Amino acid sequence: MHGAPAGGGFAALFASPTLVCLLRLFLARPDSDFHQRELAGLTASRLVQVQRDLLRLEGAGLVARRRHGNRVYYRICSDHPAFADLQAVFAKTVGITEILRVPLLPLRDHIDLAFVYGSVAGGRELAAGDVDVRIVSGHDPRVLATVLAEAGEQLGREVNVTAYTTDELRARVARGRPFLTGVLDGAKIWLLGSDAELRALLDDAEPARV
Amino acid sequence: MSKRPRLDDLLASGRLKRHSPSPAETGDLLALAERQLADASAAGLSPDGRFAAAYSAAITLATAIVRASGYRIADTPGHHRLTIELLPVLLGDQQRRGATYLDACRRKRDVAEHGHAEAITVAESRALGALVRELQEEVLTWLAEVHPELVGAS
Repeated sequence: MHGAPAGGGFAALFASPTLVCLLRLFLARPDSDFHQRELAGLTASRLVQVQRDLLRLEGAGLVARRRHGNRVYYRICSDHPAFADLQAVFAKTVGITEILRVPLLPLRDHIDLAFVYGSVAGGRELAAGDVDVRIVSGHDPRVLATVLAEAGEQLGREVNVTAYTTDELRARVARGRPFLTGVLDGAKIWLLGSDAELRALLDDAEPARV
Repeated sequence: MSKRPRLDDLLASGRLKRHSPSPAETGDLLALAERQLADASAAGLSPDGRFAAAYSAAITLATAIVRASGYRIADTPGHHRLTIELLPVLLGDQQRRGATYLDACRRKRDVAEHGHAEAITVAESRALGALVRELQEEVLTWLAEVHPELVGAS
């Protein structure tokens, strides 16, 4: 979790950048307890700011403290009625997807589509495990996999990238590869592009687009 | 690539052992890497096959660096990962991003080997092949400069 949270305008809705970082961390790891210094380290924030924002979160009933020995630990209240909704909102704004989207933006010109698929996209799993990303692009896969692996380090998650050129994606779809078809029909979180653009790309008879 | 491993810590924990390199060993590893790279561009191979061969060549080259530096990685789980992590430690920080990519390829190869169809694309197998050819150049240059006694370049 580095300094300023990604998510642009959305993050500005919150009282402090630290609050956004704290919520992102708590929501991404709902089974973990954190103590204050740990939270300050993970969010790259000052301890006094962390303490201030923890009070807000406790006041909202989103985070609960528990004492263990002489330390106090904090954890998200996963039984809060808005927990699942907040998790979804963060995933779409300042969470995983936004952190993966940001490093792709400078490469946007040669990226047709980029999406997260699999358990993360299905909303079944936000806490741990690998994040699977598929990209249709004219870029060297080395560049894509490297910037996304570096972004994954921020999240403490490993990011697996599969990179296609437009032609290869079309060719594989034309051959009716069942796994790929499953991915394309399944749940996705779009980093760049949309379902409509995917359909247009596959329907487009002209093979030279990149 | 998360944390940069420290050689002293790895020796202390037993994941790394001291090793006496020899020109014969270095020569064997370089020749093996060359054959694996040739396999990676062999005609008629699938993207998966090319990718696996290029990845093997990368591990062989990285192993050559580790051995030439006087170390051997203990045969424990995660030794490929450690081999890759040691690249920037031994060759220099300019290898850091290359190592990050190689580590992503390691995970990808694991996925592909576990029967995950469609895991590797043509573009990816080409990209890894290109990276490994660059790595081969770097390794040969490094050996000639830092360990000429191992490559008969003195």
